Amino acid sequence: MKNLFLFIAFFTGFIFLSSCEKEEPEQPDQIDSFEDGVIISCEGAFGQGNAVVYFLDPAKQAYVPEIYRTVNQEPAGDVLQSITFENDNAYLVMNNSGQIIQATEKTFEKTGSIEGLSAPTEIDIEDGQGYIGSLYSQHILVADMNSLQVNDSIFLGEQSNRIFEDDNRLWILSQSDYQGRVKDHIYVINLTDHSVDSVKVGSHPTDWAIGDNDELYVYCRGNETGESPSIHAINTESPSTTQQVELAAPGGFFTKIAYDERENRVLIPLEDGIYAYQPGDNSISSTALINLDQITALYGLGVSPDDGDIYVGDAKDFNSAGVVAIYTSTGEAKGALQVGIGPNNFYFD
Amino acid sequence: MRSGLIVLLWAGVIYCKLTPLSGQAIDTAILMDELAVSAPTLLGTGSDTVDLSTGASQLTQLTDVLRIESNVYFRDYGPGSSSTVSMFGSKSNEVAMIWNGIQIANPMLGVNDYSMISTADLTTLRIARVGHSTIFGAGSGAGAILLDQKIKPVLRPLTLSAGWSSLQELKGNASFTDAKGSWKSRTSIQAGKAQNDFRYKTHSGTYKNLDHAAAAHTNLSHHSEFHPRKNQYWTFSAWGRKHNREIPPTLTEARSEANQSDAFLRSVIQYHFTTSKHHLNVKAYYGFQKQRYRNPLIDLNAVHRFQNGQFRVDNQWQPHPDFFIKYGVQSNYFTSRSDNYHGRKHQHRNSAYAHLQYEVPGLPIELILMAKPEKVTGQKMGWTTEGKIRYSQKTTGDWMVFANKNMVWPTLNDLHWSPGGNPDLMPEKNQIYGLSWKKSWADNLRSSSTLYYRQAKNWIQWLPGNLGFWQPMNAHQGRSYGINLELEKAVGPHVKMRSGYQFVRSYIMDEANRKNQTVYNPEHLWSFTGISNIKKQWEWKLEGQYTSTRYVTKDHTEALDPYFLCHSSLIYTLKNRPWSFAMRITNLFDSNYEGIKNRPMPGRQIHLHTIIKL
Repeated sequence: MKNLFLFIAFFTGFIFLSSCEKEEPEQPDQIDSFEDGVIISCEGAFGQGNAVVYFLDPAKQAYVPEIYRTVNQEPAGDVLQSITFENDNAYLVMNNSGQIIQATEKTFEKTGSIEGLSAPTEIDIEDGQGYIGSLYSQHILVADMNSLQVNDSIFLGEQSNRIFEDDNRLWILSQSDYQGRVKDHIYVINLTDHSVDSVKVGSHPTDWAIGDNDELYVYCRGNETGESPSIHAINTESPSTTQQVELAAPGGFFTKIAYDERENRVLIPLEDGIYAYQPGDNSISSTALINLDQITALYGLGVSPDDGDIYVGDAKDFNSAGVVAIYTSTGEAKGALQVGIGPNNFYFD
Repeated sequence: MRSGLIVLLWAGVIYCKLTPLSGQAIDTAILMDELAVSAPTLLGTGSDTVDLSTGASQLTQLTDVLRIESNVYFRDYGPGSSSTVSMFGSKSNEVAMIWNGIQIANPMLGVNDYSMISTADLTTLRIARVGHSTIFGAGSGAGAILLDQKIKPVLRPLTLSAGWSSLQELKGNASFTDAKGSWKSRTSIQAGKAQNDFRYKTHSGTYKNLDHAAAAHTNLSHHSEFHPRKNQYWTFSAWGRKHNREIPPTLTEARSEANQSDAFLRSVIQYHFTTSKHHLNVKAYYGFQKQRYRNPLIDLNAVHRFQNGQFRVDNQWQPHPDFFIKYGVQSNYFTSRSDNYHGRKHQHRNSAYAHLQYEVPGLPIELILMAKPEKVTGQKMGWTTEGKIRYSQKTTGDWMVFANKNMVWPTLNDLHWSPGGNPDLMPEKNQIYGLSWKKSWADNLRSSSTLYYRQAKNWIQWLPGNLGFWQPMNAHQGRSYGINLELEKAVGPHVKMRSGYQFVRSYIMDEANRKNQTVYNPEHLWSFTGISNIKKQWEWKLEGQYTSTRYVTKDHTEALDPYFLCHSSLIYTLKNRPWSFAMRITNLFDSNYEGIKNRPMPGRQIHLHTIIKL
């Protein structure tokens, strides 16, 4: 607990998340835990080992930069691909450092690590077992989360960018290799017998968002020779595709999507703005919810389940501090925050 | 800082008895003494010779020899790893490397890896600074490093050397020189290996030895000269190398299994013919290189092969005692097959140049104009041009004002890398203006200074695109300016000393982080070398290098601390026998520093070396 004092000493101020109306500034309350707020992961510049984690407390209008480095007095590593929270622990997946760091969720104090991994992408934990995806390996690694040791693997036959466990099934999104075989399926592993099945989607599945009611929304970027990007809604219970919507965007367009559980909608950034897709509709919203003129390189997108605020991570040029822009659920600009390099994910608690 | 003060004190003690380093004299040697032509070297002018004659230089890498030049900065990833150069705050692809008159660069990257050059291969090493290197054309705007193997007279034909260092390094070299008669040759073979498992401090404050950092190489070079007549000669040079290295983990990686292997063969045939007012030089070059990069952890096994053929004709003509013309043509063909390209890629570069040098009668003034058009596959014609006015008098010294335009062509990776290669890229363009002054003072004191200003546009930068990968773009305009100061002094025959300082401001114009110093570009470099001959048999060399803060990110949110390094060498030569023993201690004060972020660098190391001439 003594490390709590360290990060308190690193307060750098607070931002105004309210409107432009002039108000008397209030003294910020101290942040003594990282449990209630927004965790912002910044993956850092490839090869430079400067991944950082920021904590934002919207209620106190305060943030704490570089919480992992401050608490542990060492950098987290190279390319923070994702963070998973489970049983009061945070698991930082350090892609180019080949390890997953275990830290307490409340203080971000390091308590262990799983090492010797090949470009891990994401970990999902169920019943004490950690299922680890990899950017290059065709296996899903299985780790015992008590001992933090890899003790099994499941052959998938594809690399795995995103993984998600639901009802004893492990869902895997495997992106196509550049100009390699075009993938147009997502995969599902039965965790009882390790059999692999797949569900047909559009060309080049790129990202997904997990909705309520057993729905998985998969963004496929299509291709430059005619296939438009599309959204595929998949029922993970059945499992089957329940809806497919083509998007009016150039084929091959790369983006990230997010699910807004308060509004029950999927947010889809396209070239000129972020659009909303309401499950069941045959098309996305006709006008952009958020204009992206001020965003250089959208790299992260998240929606707060508490207040519906929309968080956009702008990676700029990946060699300078990134910016997190915050919008209300109706798309009005609310504030911005300078963070580390490559803000890629938001985690709300 | 404490170590810096100690060296300054030592420097002060030595200062009272100094002499200039002979090797730093400006190279104005004419090609053949008996001829009327008296202009500087056939191609290029105003280069400074770096001394390779001392024993200490034989036991170091080329990067260590050059690093002591205050205007040369290496971005280096540690012992055994690759190393690229910067001069006057430039990018690496703006410094040309010239091997026996041929400009060499990896066509995929546009740069050279200086960790793969052995000093034992060379007989002469020269540096052409900004304002003196433009004649080499595209990619030479910031300077050029000239490696030569021209055979010099030797008393003993065979040189054997062996070395060991605390980096668990072993190396050996044998050179045989036959410098008599009309047929002369020099052959050198070298092999070495090193574990490079030095101790370093981790981010958590503990110490450990660097893992997976071994390197090994074999190197063979040959240079022959045939002089059938007094006014003509042929030369043949060949240089082959195989170099394997493990890529160590960074400070934030748990382990690494990556390794890189390079193998290359380079060869050039030259014919030189001289008349009373004319030099002709014809060169034909062929080079092949294979590079393999493997990293099992990310399932990577990439092979790149590239070949380069060059043909060039250079002339130097003196139609009038006050008037020189250098002119020539060059054809340069690159081809590359890479696992990251779709099919074989090639590039053809054809150029011609004319360089006019006029000495104003009755005045100590020289006017120089140069133009070099160059046509490159898929690009518009590009021009390298230069104008210089030189004023030289004994009392005032040698003044020179210069202005030039230079460019850097997009590399094959920029154009064809998959994914992301952008065939629509334009060349980077630079305009450089400068003023230099050199003067010899009384008491063997020499000074030189160069002020320069550079405007650059179309800088190529890889940026994230909306197709999910990065693409190179002509993104930026840049500016840089700075000053370089050199001072040389000697007193008596026994002590020589040299010091240099460089200040560089380099920034990008059209960015949010406007006028921030560019990344990995120190504003201040300071170097010091002192050599003292203690009687005849002992030589003591002391070197100091200061490197200021280097920024890692464009917005300066991350930076590497400044550092000061001190090295010392002691060389003993047996009386009446050409056998010497050397001990060199690098990083004498055991400084903890990083050249590249998260790449640990070695602390204090001991190197032992012996050379015998038979």
